[in-house]
Amino acid sequence: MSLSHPNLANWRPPEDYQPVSSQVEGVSVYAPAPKEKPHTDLPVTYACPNCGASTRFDVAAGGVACEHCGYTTAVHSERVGRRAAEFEFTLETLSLAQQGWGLARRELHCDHCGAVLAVPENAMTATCPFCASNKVNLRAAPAEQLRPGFLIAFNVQMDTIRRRAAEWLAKGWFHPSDLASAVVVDRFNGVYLPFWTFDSAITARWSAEVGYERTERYYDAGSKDWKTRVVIDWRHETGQVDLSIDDLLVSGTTHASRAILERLNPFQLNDLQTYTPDCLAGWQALTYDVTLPAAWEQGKAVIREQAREACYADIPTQHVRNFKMTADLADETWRYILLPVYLAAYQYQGKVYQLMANGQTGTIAGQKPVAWWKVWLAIAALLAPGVLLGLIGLPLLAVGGVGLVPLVIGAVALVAGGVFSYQIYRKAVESEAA
Amino acid sequence: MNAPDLPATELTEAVESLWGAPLQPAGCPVCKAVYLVPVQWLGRACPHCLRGRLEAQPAWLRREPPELLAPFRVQRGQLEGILAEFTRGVWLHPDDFTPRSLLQRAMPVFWPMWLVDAGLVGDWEAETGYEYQVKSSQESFVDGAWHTREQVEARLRWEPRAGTLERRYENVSVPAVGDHPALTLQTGAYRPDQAVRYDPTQVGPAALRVPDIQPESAWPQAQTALKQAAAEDCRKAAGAQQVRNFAIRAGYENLHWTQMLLPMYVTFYTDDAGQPQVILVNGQTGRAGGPRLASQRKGWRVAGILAGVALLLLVSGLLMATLGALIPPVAALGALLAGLAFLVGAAALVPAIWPWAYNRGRGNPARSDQAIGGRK
Repeated sequence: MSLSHPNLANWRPPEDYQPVSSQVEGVSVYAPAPKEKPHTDLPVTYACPNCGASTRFDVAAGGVACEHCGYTTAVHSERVGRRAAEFEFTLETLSLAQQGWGLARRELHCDHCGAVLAVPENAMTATCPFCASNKVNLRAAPAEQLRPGFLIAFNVQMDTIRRRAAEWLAKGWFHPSDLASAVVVDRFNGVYLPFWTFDSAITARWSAEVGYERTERYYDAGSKDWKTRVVIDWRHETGQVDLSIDDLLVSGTTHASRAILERLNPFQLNDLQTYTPDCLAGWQALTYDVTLPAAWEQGKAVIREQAREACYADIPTQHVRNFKMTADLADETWRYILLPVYLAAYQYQGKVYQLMANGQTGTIAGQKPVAWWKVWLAIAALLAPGVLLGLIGLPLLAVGGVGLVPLVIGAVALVAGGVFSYQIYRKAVESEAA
Repeated sequence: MNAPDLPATELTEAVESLWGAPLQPAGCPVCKAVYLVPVQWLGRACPHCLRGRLEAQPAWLRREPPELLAPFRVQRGQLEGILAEFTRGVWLHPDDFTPRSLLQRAMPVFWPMWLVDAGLVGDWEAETGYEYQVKSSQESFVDGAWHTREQVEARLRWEPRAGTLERRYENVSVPAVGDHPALTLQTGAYRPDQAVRYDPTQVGPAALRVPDIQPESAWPQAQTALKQAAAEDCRKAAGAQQVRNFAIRAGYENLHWTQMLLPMYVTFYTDDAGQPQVILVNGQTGRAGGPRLASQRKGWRVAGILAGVALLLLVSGLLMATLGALIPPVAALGALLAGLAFLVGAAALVPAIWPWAYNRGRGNPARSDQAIGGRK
């Protein structure tokens, strides 16, 4: 007994399907072919097809260009913005992410001139010191997901950065007056730095005793008079706050100051584009050395505080005690990206200071020396009125009641001066800190 | 897909033996169920409806004997224990609802399922599901410090797959009787892996139910079962844990239909209305199923006795109360008896109501007359 059936010889798998291994005899299996990612994770050497000279990504041209003959080719990348694919925290990925990038240092055989060069730790790119050819993708990621999938290309030219750096050095009254003239920062290194971005939906539930102020009248037996006073009624309350964290940035490298990097924010993640080695040609790029789990811990610390602030904002009064909360994180996702940063260092009076620039927006941030005598002078000037009024008021108070007025004004001036002084001091310390 | 060409069934008249056993075709004139029975079964109650008597009659049969038979693993000796367990706990049960009477009436019956062998050749498409685990967190702020509790969640990723299939499937079982769902609901699942090659000596004194769904009619279900088997193979082939939206364009080769016989005991008891209530026992696993009803008639009887006692107590109490006018201490005894009469009278309500309440929840959802006798 036989029934008609489709002729298997004529069967064709759907378009873009490819055979995969089958675990059952007599059954063939086809799956969609992975989206083509040609050569994005293979070592690439950039050389001009016209003249053989080295080529590099040119910010002004927006493509890979040859400085020698002017040959330019466009970068093959798609702008995806915040739609860039995100990944879940699968146990498999977390396990692979713990493994890091393998060898700390390896030797590379230059396929352009044959020289052997050493590639430093975490470097994704290199330039051969003998033939000046630019090489990209020198590190193999432990997993497909853990190689950079997206980046923002350098968008600001070096000249602009130099000019803005000079302007930045000249700004600020509590820095040495000769800083802008004494320091010339002309050597910036464009580096693609690794960053992790995190998303999460958070449901935060809080419980606390919340105090509500109430004015009441009472009889003061001492003065034998009715008076008013403010009392606080405490009530146990609960609440829920829903938060959404979108693209929280956490640095993936320990080679650049986190504090300074934070001051470079924001990066416009709407300009994220798919990773292409073309953008890295002739530029430095680092792989992450802060692993995904470690970065996520840093990210969670930020998220927790945001959730706590949101819960406090949900409470209608300032009087809170016995505050407790839980934050349930859901739909946590991450992605690994490269962001453009210019790095520089300069010396002033024998001390080295770091300087960074956002390669996308041109924002400058870094360490700046402080003329501490200016700071102390300013603080003294701010505190002086209060102290002086106090000194005047005290003897006058001893003589007669007139001294009370300058004493009160002096106290107010002293408090205000103290607040301003503290802010100036804090800014000065931050300015020098890395 | 059209129904396949199948060897036709043949009308079999009264014969001395069938399929190697001394069996006669017989049928029930009431429910039209057809059996192959040992000659001594003729004239007995129909195991299907219990209303008609089995009479010799021709039957539409396949010539070849069944391929597999699941032997009775529950012997008659074990049946009493099973029925005792089944009848236990029904307060005010009908007088006939006892292990002994159920055992006396127990009839061994084999009921059939079709076994289909077929080669499938075709192409398929599906979404296959791959399980993976993700780590999530719950952060708690208690006593001024943060505490983290990590949770691992299982998730499923669906991916499209396609391919070809060229496999042969053996002994895919398909219902052969119309009341198959009701039967399996009452007796539970059978284990086909415990079935053995059909051997006429294993039939013994049992009756064999004749399929009332012919292969032509069973073909759509067979097709579904074959596709399910194919879907399972494709899931395994793709290394997936789940499959959905499975579609196959297949041809069927070398179809072969045989029967598998499954063992059960059929017994019954009569309820208040004198209607037989069928109890089925899985001959392989011993699972019993059927309505366990309480007797409303018995309930009324017990309630009547209690009401009589209450009345007697009340009359005695009233008499004592009257006497109390002369001998005051007797009046107290009269009040006590009246109180007792009230309590016993109230207690009489319980057996009156209880069977109704009990039967309301336990009627016979698993095997109603409609379910087993749909052809009446």
